[in-house]
Amino acid sequence: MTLPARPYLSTRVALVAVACWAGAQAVPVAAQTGTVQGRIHDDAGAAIVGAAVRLENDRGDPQMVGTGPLGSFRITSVMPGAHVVTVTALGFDEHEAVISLQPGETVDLDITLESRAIELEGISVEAERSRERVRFEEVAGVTVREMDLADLQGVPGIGETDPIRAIEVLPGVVSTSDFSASFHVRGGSQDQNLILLDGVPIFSPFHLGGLFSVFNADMIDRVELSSGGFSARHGGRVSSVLEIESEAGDGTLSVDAGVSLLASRVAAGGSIPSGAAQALGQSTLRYRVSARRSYFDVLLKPLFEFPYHLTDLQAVVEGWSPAGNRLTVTAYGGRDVLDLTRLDADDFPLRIDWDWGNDLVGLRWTHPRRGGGSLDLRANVSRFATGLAFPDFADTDFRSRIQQLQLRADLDTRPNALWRVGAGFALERMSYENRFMSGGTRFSGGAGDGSLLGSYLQTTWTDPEAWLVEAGVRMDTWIPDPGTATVTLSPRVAAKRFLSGGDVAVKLAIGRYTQFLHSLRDEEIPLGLDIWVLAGERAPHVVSDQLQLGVEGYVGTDWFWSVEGYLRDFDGVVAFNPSDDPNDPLDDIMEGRGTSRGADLFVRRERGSVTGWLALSLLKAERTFPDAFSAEDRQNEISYPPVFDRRIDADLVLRYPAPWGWEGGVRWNVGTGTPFTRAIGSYAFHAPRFVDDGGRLRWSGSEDDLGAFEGTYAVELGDRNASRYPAYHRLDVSFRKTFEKSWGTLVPYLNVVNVYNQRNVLFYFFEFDRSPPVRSGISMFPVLPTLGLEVRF
Amino acid sequence: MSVRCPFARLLAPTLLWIFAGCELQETTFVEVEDVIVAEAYALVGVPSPDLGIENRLWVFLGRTVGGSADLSVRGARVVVRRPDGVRFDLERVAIENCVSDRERERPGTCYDAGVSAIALRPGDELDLDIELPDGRELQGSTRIPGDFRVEGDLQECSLAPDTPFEVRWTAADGARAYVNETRIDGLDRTLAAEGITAPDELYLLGLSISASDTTIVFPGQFGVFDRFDLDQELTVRLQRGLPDGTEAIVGISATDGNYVNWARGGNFNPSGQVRIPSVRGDGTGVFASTVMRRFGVFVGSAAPEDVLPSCPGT
Repeated sequence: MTLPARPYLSTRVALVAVACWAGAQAVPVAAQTGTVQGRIHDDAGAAIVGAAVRLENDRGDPQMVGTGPLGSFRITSVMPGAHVVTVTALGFDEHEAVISLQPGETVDLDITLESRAIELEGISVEAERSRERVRFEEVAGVTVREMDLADLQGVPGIGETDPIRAIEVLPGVVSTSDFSASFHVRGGSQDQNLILLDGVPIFSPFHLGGLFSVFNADMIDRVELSSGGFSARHGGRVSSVLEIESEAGDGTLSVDAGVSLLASRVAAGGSIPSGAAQALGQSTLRYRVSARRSYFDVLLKPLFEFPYHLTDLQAVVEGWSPAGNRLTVTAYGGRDVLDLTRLDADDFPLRIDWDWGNDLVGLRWTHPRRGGGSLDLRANVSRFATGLAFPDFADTDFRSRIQQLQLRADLDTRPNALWRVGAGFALERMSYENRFMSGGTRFSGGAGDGSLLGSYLQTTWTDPEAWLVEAGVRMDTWIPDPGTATVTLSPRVAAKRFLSGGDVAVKLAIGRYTQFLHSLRDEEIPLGLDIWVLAGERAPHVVSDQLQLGVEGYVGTDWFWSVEGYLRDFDGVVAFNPSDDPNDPLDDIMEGRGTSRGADLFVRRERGSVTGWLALSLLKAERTFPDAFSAEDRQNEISYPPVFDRRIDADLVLRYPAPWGWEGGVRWNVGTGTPFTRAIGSYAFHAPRFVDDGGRLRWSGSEDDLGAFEGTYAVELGDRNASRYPAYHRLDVSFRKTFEKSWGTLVPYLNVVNVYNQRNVLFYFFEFDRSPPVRSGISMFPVLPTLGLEVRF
Repeated sequence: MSVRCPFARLLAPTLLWIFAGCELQETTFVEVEDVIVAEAYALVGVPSPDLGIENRLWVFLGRTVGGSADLSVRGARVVVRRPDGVRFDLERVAIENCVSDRERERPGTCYDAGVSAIALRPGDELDLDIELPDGRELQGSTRIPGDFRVEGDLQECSLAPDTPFEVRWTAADGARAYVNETRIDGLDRTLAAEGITAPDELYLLGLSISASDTTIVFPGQFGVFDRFDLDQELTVRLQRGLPDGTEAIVGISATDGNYVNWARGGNFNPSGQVRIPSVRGDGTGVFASTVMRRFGVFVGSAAPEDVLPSCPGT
């Protein structure tokens, strides 16, 4: 039933009776209450996301939720009787209605809101709070930390808002270097994070070898990091899921533009004319497109050729049909280009042309079901590729690419107020090729493809304010070429017990997760590109068993807190085999295993003049691999802490009202040192020369500008990662101010990274050839102020 | 030069300031461990009266720097054994037998098997034992790659100017890679006319990885590791072939896995190149073996008056 919006208390109340499922009779408490659910949309049928739905009875016990991505909401444990339903949303008239609820009844509402010109402050905040609360009440297992655009902007950073940089401040997330935006979650490798842009996988979303992410904040609505306890729906990676949701806008013509130290950017949004939209079967069709480009090469051109630039193009189109179905198209294309072919030959004689980047397109159709469920169909294409060319040397061919085609369907049903059932499947086709050839020979490489058929069944049972239990199973069939087909069965169970009237919950999740691809990145290098390989003949697949146990809750409506401990193991992690036999095509990747255990504390203040959170992460991670560096039997195994084994990591993030109308942001990060392998000695790097010198050894090196020879040294290493860098700490601040102008808004901002110029160690250099031998090094970012400007109209 | 953008003047110094600011201000004295480094090689040379080099078996013993001022390792007992009972006792010899750079400091001690190395054969399995006076011991093993021959059984051949030539050879059993070297003479005078600066003697290194990769194009695919350092006009010029009047020695060396691991190194470490050793015990190092074939190439007018065969395929 559709209820037209009214600015006054409606007397035309919609009542839809849905029979309770027989099994619910066994739960007396649930049987005494009812459920109110439904969908909120505008007059064009587009879902209104983040609308606040408030239910209040004559005793004044309000219940409130926010609407989800499809405009759906659900309020359970509603006492029978008459209730006033109030729906508020930014940019729409408030809607009120009265409903009557019988014991055990589910009332299904379909509410249309009408647009209004004057926006009401505070509505958005209310809805956001409710969204978090809904997740607390309706999800048992997965640990999700969410940041909206305001949160992202409140985290000080370099240049401009960066969603991947920003999630470093969340619990369980470790970054090993200021120079890399790649991250590790709860002891997982960086390639074990599934990064999704509107549900489309993106492989290596970084610029400058990892210094910045590819995402333009002007296009982002919110970022969600799921760090554990995944349901059976989740597949593809074993450590975390980072979902980045684009903002398609509200359909009004708008432009955002900005300039920062990194790049200049522009984003524009609007609606496609209704006639065109209707021709496409849509009642409304919104779009938002953006472009970003770095400008150093242009700016410095009068002085010298700056050889690098980056570009990002991103678009999202969202359409809603008269029946309320949503159609979404997401596209992204980005490139980093390092062009050393135009430099002065005296300065840089070797001409190099290197580019890398991602491309993706995703098509998604969502049919909302009454009661909040949905049918979701997707088709995605994603690829990452890099190529390094030496124009003067045709024998050199360095390239790496991975591509993924994906079709998936997800069905989410809610048979009654107590049960929720989901099922789905995904059909994926992946391929990769790595080729490193020069001088007529192949240094390394590989190619292959694979097909993945994943399916799952997931059920959720709830006893409102008492229990929430999730059980599911996922089956993945991986057919690699070359390689042998593998079938993995991954059971997953989670339970949450609510206490203190539903404000506190104890949660437990246990499950198995699998992954069929790897990145062969040397994680000891802070900047670098991913070299992807698929599981198959050359590489194993990853199987990870994980357990997490936690307590979380709300104090009032403003404070959320959470403590979680976890245990994880990882079978099938990989690394380059540095002592592989070139005659054996199957030994260039080493198989290993890993473990991690730790605990995360999270305290967040969600409302008030000062908001923010404290995240404290404890971690102990270990990796075990064959000892490829040993002169003894290289099948012997060694265990060591990986470079991301930061045992204690704490982040304090605050947003506060600064003087003179500025908005302040603070981030203070402190962590124990990460491991490194210490050099214990060095010796001259010799190479024999056979052709004319009988194999006598020569000291490798080069002559400096004055003709003096500088020999190179090889190092003798101590135990792997047995030493640790000093503790890391850094304070960042930001200030933003919004100036309202007749034509729009103007937002200057200042970020200062590493305010007190702490010299956090990036590397130590052990120089044993000096007398006496010394240890020097280089640090991460010094104090680094950056300015930027954003405009919107 | 006019500067169109006023900010451009500031950006370059700003970037310099950022990266200069990254240098740690602290410098700490560190202890160094005295580690024995043994670099042992068994070379089966070319059975040729003109170009052949004799078999060689030698060990260069040194230490990690920064500890003892004296890096020599005297008094060591160095023995290489073959399973058939043949034993090679290596004696201490002048250091020039192990290292070639006379102008550079040459810390360390050279041990050489001398003429007894003539007994080395392709395919031999060898075990190395080193005992130091202080009681430290090091061991290693290698298997010399199998024999191979270069197409045409080349000893010398003539090549037309500016003509690349693909060198082919048969696979050597057990080889992990072929180290391809060339020393080219005469480039300085022949390329001067083209305005290209070149040394009178140019050494270039190429690689063919795996036993089955048995070709390389001469001279263009040599010098793959020198492309960052050499004059680019010269390296690009060599892609076309050698100029008239030059001559070269080309060596193809089948190498074992120990050689390859020691040469290519392992994971990144900011303090220096990581080498993968094949010498175990109280130290580190390599015990590598190679089988080498080599031939001469004379380009155009550089060919001797007596008729030389053309290089194969040209």
